[in-house]
Amino acid sequence: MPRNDGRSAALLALIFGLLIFGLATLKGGIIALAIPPAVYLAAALLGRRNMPRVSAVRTLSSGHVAPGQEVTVTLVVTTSGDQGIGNSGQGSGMTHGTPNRRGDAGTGVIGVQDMIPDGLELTSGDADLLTLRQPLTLLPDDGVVSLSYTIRGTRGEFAFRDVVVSLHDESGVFLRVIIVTAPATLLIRPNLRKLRPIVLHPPRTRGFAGPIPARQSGSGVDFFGMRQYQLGDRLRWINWRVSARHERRLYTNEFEQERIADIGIILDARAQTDVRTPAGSLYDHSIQAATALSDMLLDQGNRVGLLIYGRGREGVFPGYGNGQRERIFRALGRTASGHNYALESLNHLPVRFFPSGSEIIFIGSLTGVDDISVLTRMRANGYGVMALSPNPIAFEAASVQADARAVSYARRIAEVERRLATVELRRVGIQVIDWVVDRPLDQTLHESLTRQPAQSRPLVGGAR
Amino acid sequence: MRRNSLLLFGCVIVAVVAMGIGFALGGSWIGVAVASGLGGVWLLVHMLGNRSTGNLAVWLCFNALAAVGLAIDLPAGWMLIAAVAALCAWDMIHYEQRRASATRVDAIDLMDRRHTIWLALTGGVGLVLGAAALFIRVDFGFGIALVLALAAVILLSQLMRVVSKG
Repeated sequence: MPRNDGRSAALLALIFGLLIFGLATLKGGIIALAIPPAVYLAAALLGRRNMPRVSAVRTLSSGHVAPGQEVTVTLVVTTSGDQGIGNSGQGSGMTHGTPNRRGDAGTGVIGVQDMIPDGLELTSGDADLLTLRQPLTLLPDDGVVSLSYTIRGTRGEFAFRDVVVSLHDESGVFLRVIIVTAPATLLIRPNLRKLRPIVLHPPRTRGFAGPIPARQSGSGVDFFGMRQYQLGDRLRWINWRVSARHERRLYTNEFEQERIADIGIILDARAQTDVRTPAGSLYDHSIQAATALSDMLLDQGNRVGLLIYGRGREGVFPGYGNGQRERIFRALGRTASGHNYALESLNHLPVRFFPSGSEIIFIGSLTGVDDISVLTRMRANGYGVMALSPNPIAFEAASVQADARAVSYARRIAEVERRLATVELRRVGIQVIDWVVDRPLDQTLHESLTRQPAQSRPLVGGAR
Repeated sequence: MRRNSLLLFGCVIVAVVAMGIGFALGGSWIGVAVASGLGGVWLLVHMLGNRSTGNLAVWLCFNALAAVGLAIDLPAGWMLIAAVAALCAWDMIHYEQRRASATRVDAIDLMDRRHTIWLALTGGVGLVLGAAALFIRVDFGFGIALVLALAAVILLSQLMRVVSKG
C-alpha cells in the first residue's frame, strides 16, 4: 500500500523555487512555469476534501476450525456514512474510522489492505485491493468495497484486527491512511488423533454407569465374586456348580460395577520443560496427547477437567459431553508454552482444582526440578496419578548429530536420570508412560497399560 | 496498462522534444543533449523500477532545465510545454506505481479513464494559465502589485499549512 511519499512537499518546493528564481532573475517566464504545478496541486487539494466516513465489517465462515481447514474471510468496507451493514455475530466485528470532513461520500480511489495475522497462510483470493470509490453510479453497491479470501493455518488463536484503508485523491498526492478496526478471532484447534479406549483405575468412581471397573459388586459384565443367595437375586445369576457342593444353600455370582470417574488432565506448559528443535516443539506433542486423551475419556462418559500450567494457570473445570470437549479444545487451541517466574515449580499446582479421588493424568516431560516430589505428594493425597511423558531425550537427540562421543555420553546420562525418575514414580504407585513421540500415542498407551506393574494399582479403593 | 505506458512514453517524448526545440531555437546544443539525456534517464529509471526517488529527481531536473532556458531567454512557449509534459509524465509514473502496489485492482478501465481525463484537464488548465501568464501583459500600479504579492504570499502560506497538515 503506497504511503504519502512527499509529493506535495516536492510540488511546493518546486513552486517556491521557481518563484524565487524568477524574482531573482526578474524573468516573468520562470514565474509562469510555476503555474502548472500550482494548478496540479490545487486540483489535488480539491479532490482531497472528499474524505468519507469509513467502516469495516469482517466475517469469518467459521470461528473455530481444525488445522489445515480453510476459512473464508469476507471484509466489507463501507466508505459512506451508511451503517446498514450489521454485525453478524460471532467471528465478526465492525467499527468506524475517522469521520468525514464534509459528510459526503465523494469520489476517488480507495485501497483496502487486510492485515492477516502471522501464522495464517493465504490460500486463495487477495487480502488487498485498489478500486474506485464512486458511490452513486459506478459500483453496484453504494459505497461498498468487499474483499474475500481464504486462509488456513495450524493450531492457535489468531486475532484479526486492523484494516488499512487508504483514500487517494485522483492525483495520489494526498493519501489518507485510516486504520479501521474490524476485530474477529479465529481459533484453530489441535489436531485430533482418535485413541482406542483405555482402562483407568481411579481411586474413586462416580455413581453413574461408565467404562471404569468400580471394584464394587453390582450389575456388570466381569465376574467379581460369590455370595450366598438372597431373596430377590436373579435366578440366572445362581452359580449352580458351587451350590451343588453345599446342602440347602444357594450361591449367586457377583459382577463388578462399571462407573464413570473424575479425570483431571494437567498439561505442563512451562518453557523450561519444553524442548524446541528445528523439527518443532515437544509441547506440541503434549497438546496432541491432551487432545486425544480428553476426547477419548469424554467419549467414555467420564467427567474430565483440564489444567494448563505454565505461562499462567488456565483451567477448564471438570464436565461432561460435547460442550466440555469444545471448551477443552478451545483451551488447547490457544495455549502456548511460556515462562512465569511464579510458576517455575510445580509446587504451586492447584491440586484442589480436581475433586478428591480423581484420576490425574499429568502430561509433561518430567524434567522439572521438583516434578517427582509434587506428583508423589498428589498420589499421597489420594489421587490416582498417571504421568504421560513425551520423551525429551529421544526428541532432542533426533535433531542432534549423535556421532560425537560427548553427545552419546550426555544422552546416556540423561536416560539413566530419566529411568531413575520413572522408577521412583512407579514405586509410589504412579503409572508412567514414556512416550517416544515418533511412535503413535495409541500404540504406546496400550503397550504401557497392559504391562503395568502391580504396585501401580491404586492404594485407595471403594466407590462413592 | 499498455495505454498508460504509451501515454507516459508520449509525455516524456513531448517533454524532451519541446525542450530540445526550445534549446535548438536558441542555438544551445548542449541544452538539447541534456534534455535528451534526461529523457533517456527518465525512461530508464521507470523501466528499472527505482521509481520514486529517481522519478522525482529527473522531473525536478527537467523543471530546472526549463527555468535555465527561460533565464537565458529561450522561447518560453516550448519551455512551458516541456514543463507541463514533464509534470504529466511524473504523475503517470506515480499512478502506475500506485496501481502496481495492489494485488488486485478493480474497475481498472474506469479508473484509468478517469485519471487520464483528470490529468488532461489539470495539465490543460495549467498550460492555458501558464501561456496566459507568458503572453498576456496587464499594466497596473505599484499598489495593485503590492496587494497581489501579499495575496500570493498569504495564499501560498495557507497552501503550505494545508499540505503540512497532510
